[in-house]
Amino acid sequence: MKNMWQAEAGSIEKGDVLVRITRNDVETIDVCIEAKPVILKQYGDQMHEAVLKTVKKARVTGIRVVVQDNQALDYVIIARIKAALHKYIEQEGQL
Amino acid sequence: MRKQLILNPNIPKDLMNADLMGAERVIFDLKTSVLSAQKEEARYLLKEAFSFLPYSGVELWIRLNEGTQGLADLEVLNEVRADGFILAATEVSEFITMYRQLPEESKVYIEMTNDTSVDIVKNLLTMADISIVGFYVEEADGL
Repeated sequence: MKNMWQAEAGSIEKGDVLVRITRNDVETIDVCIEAKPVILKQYGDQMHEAVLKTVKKARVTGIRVVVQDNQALDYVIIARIKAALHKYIEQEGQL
Repeated sequence: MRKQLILNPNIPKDLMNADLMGAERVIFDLKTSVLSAQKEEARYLLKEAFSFLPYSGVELWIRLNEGTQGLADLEVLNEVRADGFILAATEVSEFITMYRQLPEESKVYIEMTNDTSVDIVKNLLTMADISIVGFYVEEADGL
């Protein structure tokens, strides 16, 4: 089966986050956070904002970002987003 | 005897607890502890950890990769204020290129990698703008 994700970074280990990025059909940034309901309720907006801010700073659009959180701190989320974006941009450049 | 710890900088839990493990020195090892496919992730995680985590009471060193991977390390980590950087003595021109991309006033330790390392170090020590603090030698059974 072909891997539909064009770039991913991180892991599902505790304290980490798995970030997967794929191209979107429209020129927007689609963010999806997957976490325990209690975490989503308390930190969902904050995580969404951190992801969006990091992606916008990299000036990348037309992507879907899926973040699978396992109780990661903010700096881990930001680092994994940056790494996944770097991989995504590199791959897009090769197309 | 000083206690030092070598950690994989791609593990968030280890980064968070680096100054709580009782070591006087922690070496974040990008060279041999991190799988090739994960080096990019490790660089970004290390960079963010240095700016986010309030490390205290421990010396923090970074062991860089050789060659193009080493240059890629410094593209991401060129503003990280580590207490020391370990650079391999593989080739004079490569060493100088990496040295000049380090953050200003960084303490540099040379890793002796093979028989030619001594000659490379002798050559480097004749250069006025190269300042080396010490040497790093990895043995088969540890440091």
